[in-house]
Amino acid sequence: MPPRSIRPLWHPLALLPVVCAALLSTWCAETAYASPEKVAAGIRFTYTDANAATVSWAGDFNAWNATANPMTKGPGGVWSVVMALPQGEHAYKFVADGQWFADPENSATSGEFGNSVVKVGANGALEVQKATSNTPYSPKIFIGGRVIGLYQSILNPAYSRYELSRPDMDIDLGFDVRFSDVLAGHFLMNLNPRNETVQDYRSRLNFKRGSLTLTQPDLTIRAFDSENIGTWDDAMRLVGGIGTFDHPYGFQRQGFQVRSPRLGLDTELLYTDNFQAGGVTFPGFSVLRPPLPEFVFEADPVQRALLLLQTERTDSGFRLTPGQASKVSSMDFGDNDKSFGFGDGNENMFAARVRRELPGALRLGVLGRTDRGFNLGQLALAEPTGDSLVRLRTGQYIHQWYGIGGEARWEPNAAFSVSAEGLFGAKRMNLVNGATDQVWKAGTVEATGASSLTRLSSTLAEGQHLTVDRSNRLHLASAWTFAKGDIALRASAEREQHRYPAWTQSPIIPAGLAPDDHARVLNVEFQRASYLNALDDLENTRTEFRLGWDRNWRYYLNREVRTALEIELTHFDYDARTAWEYQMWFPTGSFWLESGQHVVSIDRLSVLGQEEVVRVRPSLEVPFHSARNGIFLWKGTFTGVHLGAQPRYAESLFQLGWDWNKVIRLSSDTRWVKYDTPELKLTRGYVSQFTEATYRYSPTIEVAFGFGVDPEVLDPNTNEYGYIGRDVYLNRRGANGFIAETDYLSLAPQIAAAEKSLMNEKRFQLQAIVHF
Amino acid sequence: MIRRIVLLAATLSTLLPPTAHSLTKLEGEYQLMAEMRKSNRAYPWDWDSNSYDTFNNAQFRLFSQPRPGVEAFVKVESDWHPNDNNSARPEFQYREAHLRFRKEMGKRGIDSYWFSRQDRFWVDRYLIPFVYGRGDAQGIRLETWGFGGFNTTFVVADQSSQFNPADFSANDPVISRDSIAAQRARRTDDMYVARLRREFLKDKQLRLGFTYNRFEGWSGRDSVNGPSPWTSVYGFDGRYRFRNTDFSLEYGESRPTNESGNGRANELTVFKHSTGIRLPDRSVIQGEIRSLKLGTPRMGYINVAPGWWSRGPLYRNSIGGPTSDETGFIIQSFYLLPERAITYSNQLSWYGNKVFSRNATREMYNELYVEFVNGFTGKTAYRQRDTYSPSGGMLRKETRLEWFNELQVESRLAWLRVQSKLRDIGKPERKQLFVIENSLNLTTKTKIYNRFALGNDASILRKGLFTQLQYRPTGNMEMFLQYGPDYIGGGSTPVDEGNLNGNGDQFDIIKFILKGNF
Repeated sequence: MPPRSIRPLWHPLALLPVVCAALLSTWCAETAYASPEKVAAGIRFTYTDANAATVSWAGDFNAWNATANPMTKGPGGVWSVVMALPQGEHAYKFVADGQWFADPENSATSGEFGNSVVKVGANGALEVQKATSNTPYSPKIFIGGRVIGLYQSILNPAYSRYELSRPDMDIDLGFDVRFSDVLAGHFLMNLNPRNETVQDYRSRLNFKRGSLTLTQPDLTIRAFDSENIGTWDDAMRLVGGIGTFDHPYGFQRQGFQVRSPRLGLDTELLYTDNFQAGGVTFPGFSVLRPPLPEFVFEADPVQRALLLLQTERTDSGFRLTPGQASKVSSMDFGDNDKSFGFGDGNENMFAARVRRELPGALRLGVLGRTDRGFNLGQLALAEPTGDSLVRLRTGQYIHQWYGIGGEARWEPNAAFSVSAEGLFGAKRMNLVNGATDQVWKAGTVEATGASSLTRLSSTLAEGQHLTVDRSNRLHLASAWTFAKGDIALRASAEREQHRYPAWTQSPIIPAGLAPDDHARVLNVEFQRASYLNALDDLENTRTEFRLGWDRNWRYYLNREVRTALEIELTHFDYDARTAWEYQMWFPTGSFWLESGQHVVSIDRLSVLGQEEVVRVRPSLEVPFHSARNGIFLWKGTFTGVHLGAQPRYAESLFQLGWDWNKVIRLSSDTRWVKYDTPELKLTRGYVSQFTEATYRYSPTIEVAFGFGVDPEVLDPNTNEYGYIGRDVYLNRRGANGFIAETDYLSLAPQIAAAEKSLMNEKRFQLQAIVHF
Repeated sequence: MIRRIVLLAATLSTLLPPTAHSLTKLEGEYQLMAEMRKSNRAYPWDWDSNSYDTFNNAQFRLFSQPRPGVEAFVKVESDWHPNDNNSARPEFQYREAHLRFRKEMGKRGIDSYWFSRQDRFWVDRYLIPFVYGRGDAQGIRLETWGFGGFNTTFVVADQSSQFNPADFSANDPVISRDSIAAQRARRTDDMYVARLRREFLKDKQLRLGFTYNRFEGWSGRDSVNGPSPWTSVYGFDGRYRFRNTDFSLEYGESRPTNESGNGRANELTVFKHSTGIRLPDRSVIQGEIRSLKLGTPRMGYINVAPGWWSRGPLYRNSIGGPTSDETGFIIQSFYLLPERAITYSNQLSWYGNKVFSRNATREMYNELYVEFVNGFTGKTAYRQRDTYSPSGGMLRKETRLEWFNELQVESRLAWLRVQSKLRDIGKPERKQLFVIENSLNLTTKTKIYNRFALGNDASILRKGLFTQLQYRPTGNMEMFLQYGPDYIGGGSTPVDEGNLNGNGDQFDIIKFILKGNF
């Protein structure tokens, strides 16, 4: 082996460490901290820097003079100075060897430069100020977060032993950043191995949500990414109030929100992009696409649509039946969803509202919203225009819906209000990407159909649209509170009307497929059919009345005993030709619902398809042993088809809680439910129980030990706790609106199995929640 | 529960902790490593920072104490390693986290860790390691002290890192990712540990302890189709101190999934002599006396610590040790020469299988350690290891001899260590290993470290030359510029490193390392 030279050690690159060391030395100085404090001669400030040659105090008090008030170095490199500051707020910084530093130990700052701030009171003492930072690394950053450890041991009935489930560690790490006095930022990162469905060591620190907010006296602009931006407070909640868990808007969306009170108008503009195709706010369900070999493709959808046209006998032979349409269309998916199709599948939303307060406690407003770019698809729609002539529109489309309307509210006093809102809108298929409008002529028309078809003309049809749903909604409501707020009454009525062209309805069984349920499920997004009287619209309506009554019995019982009753009467009027999924609790039947969402809560599973639905929700809240914060709560949900008839779904929730001592709280939560649903052949009752002991270290730190299925769990969408634990449990086991829409025949066994599983689940859990 | 919703939602939305200035610290470190290798007798201008021999990481640690006794810790790291962080750019990945709740009430206290990806299985032990680290896991560790005089440790954990949920493909027709079966599969590799210890009598002369562990394994992708194997162990330990001599005896017994077949083939022997006493096949027992002190102040003292063990053939422990089917003894002794800084140590041990085979090992180790004047120290050791293995109906004996020498000196300016080892003396595979190390403090911040290693056997002479320039301008950063393979001879006993084997030979590599922490 040849002798080795050491010359490479002296290569010019060897200088790199020295350069890096010089750069690093600027940030590796260590500091210690001590807060400003009141002393006899004023306020004493300290700054620790053992290596600094000079340190001085500079602030608005000395006109930011960097040399006027030098600090004195003491043991341990602690520099100090006492400033005789007068009463008021004072901004300052330290100047160490010419570099300006905010006070690392003063958590209050202001201004775009992050100056430290002290507030001196009348007696010369320091006043406590709201912290804008809790880290010495930056006076503009406030670090906070939450760590949740959840450990569950679940009985495995197969082996009659408890098994430790994969523990959950959910970690939120958030930063509130004060860029300046007008611009604030909020960023939240999350780490949860379970959510990522990867091995723990591969799970990442993910960006969860964030926002930037510019606040001016008459203008607020907020740019957000998956942030909660709330639910609009109009009666029909045009934005937000999503799904069965009533989620606010903003999650899984990126966008801008602009609000301004200029010109006496309360204006809000909202533009968002849904970066997950179809919208996924829990419990949202993406369509389970079957493996491609099982999916039915149309090799030539145009020819198929033409051949599906039906004929009728005339005096001279046969002709194409007028007033019919044949359709071959398929749901498509964007490229981001790694499937066939076009586009990114992302939905854009724009909403705006303007409101103005008028004399006489009247408020008027207009509002509107449009969603565009969901449910991408391909269409071939053929309509006869003569005995042998056919108009055929074919190509790719995107869905769009819009709604616009007005609202009025009269609130003469805080106890009484009347409001009204009207919306109308439409959902349509917009032809895009080279879609064409063609004219075809059939050479031969016979009893079995048309043949020898030739295309006479073809023109681009981009920009054309086909309306697939027109809808009107009207809502009237009133609320009255009296008896010093002890009694509140609410009443509302709402009517929602939809008109769909007949050809929009999916066939009961896709043509050409075996008439079994399996094929129907697999091809729920696939439609291929011919329709006679295709232009006859279907008209469906939903009329709903709600009555609410809240009563506080404190006057009679000398404690805050509350009762409430909510009655909801819904009447559906469906055209007999309406397909199952066009019920108005499914998003297919009502574009007003967020795409991918439904409002089929567990109780509504039992009344799907009914013309009349009644839901009664009473509740009772009784406090006891006030020293121990004892509380008893009963909430009932009774859902059926007639008032007075036995409910098809009867649920009672009983909650009991009291403080065992100052730090331990005991609570119990019981759910009893009874089904009586002939259509689903469900007649059983189920009980589930959750018992918990909670140890509270502080209002934001607790450790809880429980048994049963916890009704309070982290909402996968918001990552905050919600009283949805049992619903999530049942939903994940098939008792949900998606199964109801797409696979109704298997819904009953899924509900029964899910309820039985919930009832029999034996689960110990330890949960620690720490906010920092 | 309603309270939890309101309070948690409120605090999450603002991220404001309850106190204005709760302690939250961010710490971290960063390392940059680049290397250049000689190719065709020249160093191509190609610094490589993304090879399997480099480690470039950025680590970020969050430590928060929202109130006394409560602690949250999270560590994430991004390192450019093709196996683990296989993306276009490295991502910050989860490393570990814990929540800690600690409460002290005078002489009593409770301490608990809610840990994730940490090895917190340590429990105090002496002779038999009924529990030792199982690697990273997720679980809860609870310790108490002072309650009834007991010290207790409880650990419940799940080693779910073995399980990759991504294995349950969404297209898997049998078991989908969100299926209940998959949920069950996640309940795998459960580990339970309980340890109780208490001292008795005056001056804590008697100490008794009990250890229990249970391991529930994972039988494959899906635990639905077959029960997971499990093992549990009960262990008892006792120590009695009489005039500075400890008498220790420990006993443990295991229970496996299949509990049949616990015979009595585990006969107790004393120094290979039968006693006629038979213990269960699933038991282990071990004893020790530490130590017997013999001698006079003038002659010096010899300290002798005899130990003995017997392990049944069916003993199993999935969370700890020891091995099964073995009996043996060990006698450790050392002698300090009076008025001389010379220590002589000796260790004689014998151990062999009892039931399933007749393998046995006898080992004699002698060591002389001398402290010379002027900071020099020296050590010489000689080891003889005889192994007995059945071969053709006979016991075959094989003897291996090893001689180790070390000379070391350190001053304020420099440090030197020379080691040699002659391995397998007299055998065809004999090998001579030599290592010379030295370091020189050029300044208070700069140091040069050199190491030269030689490994000579009958086939080839392997070498390792390593030189490193170290620069530490502050306490939280260091910078190295080095030449040569750093792993040859690396470690506390360079001649013990087995990397002067196979391809372990000198090659030309220049590496630059810069690391800092904050």
